[in-house]
Amino acid sequence: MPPTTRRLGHVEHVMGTVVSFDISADDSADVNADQRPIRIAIARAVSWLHRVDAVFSTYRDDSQISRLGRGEVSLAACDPDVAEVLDLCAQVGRETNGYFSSTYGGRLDPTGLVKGWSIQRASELLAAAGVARHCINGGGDVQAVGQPEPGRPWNVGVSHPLHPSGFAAVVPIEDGAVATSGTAERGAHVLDPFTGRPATTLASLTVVGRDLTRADAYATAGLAMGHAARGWLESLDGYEGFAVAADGTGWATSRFPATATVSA
Amino acid sequence: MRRAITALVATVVGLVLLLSFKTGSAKSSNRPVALSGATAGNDTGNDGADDSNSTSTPSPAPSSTGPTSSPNATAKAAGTQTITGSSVRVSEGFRTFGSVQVQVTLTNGKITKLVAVDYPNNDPQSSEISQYSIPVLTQEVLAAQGTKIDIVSGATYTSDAYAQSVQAALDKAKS
Repeated sequence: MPPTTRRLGHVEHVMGTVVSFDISADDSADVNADQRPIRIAIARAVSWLHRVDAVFSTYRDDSQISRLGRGEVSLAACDPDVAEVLDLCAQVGRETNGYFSSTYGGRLDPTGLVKGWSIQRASELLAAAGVARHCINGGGDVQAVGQPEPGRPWNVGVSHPLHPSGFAAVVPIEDGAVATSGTAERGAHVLDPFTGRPATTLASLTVVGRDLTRADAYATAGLAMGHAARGWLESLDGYEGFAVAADGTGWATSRFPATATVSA
Repeated sequence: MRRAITALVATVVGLVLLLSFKTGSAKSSNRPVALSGATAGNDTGNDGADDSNSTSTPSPAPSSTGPTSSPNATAKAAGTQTITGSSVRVSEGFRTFGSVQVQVTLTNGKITKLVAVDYPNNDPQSSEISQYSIPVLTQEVLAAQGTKIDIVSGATYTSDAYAQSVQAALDKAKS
């Protein structure tokens, strides 16, 4: 008899949003009676996310990123993760032709990259602990590894920004990331760095790719680009995009892996 | 083979049911529209000899645009096929907007892309209908297609908004 697949979940309020863990395990092999190894791995990943929040939160005056931004502490004195994140921000800034920026309103604010980066790291922590089939959703940004059940991928529903209880597309992924930036939940909070004005052309932009660090940052940058994001995403290797515009129309790049979508 | 394709196109027509169209009146924009003739796709039980009375019969023959065989899948629908369905009339209540035509791409028998190649724009009363909206896929419709949603990607929700989210409902379903 084949082993039955069990799904374990955990929900953590952290980084101003909610992070959902979805672990798939075979009853016979991966899960012993008290699920301890998996629960320990989740606890470590959760602890990592709280540490990221403490270091990088721009809502906390005492976070390293806030103190660095005010010039009260040097980069060398910060956690090495700060330098890594700022280096990634610089790389992504170049890759997005300047549309990704690690400042917001004149303040140092790498938030547009930190969430995706930290969720990807959390996923790597789970994988290193032997949790081979899992999916982590950080407030709408998803990193998945393996399969939820033998023979099928994780089905990521892309929330329809104009009809939040429904979906605009379904993206099947194994080992991959799906990130969506949009105006639905937090309003027009993404600014076009070249005009300083809120980006409002697209209601949401979803980017699919291998790693969530870039998928998340690219989704934010692409939202600022508006419809120009389509050509830019087409020019990238390994990243595809799907947009729903504020008027309800939309588009997908030519290799966007949706199972059910409509594109113009 | 042809009947299998007809059945798939019927599924697609079912999806197109969910298309909502921008109309001249703001009140009726983004409302779902009914598709007359959608039930015509339910001819999978017929013997397939006469497809001509079905409005959703694929009109042109399938055109193959990719590898047509794979070593593991000797049977039907291996490789990539693009099929264009025939035009179907679209109406909302008593209004008729025009016709819609859908092109579906199948990879190894699964829908990989769905494109509306024609959409209502020929009704003078709804001349502003020049673009169609991204359809709303409900969990019910997806379940009917055999797609189970595991996770939801969307604009970052706040802790408070999470409680109302589809993701929260999915999380509750797990241990």
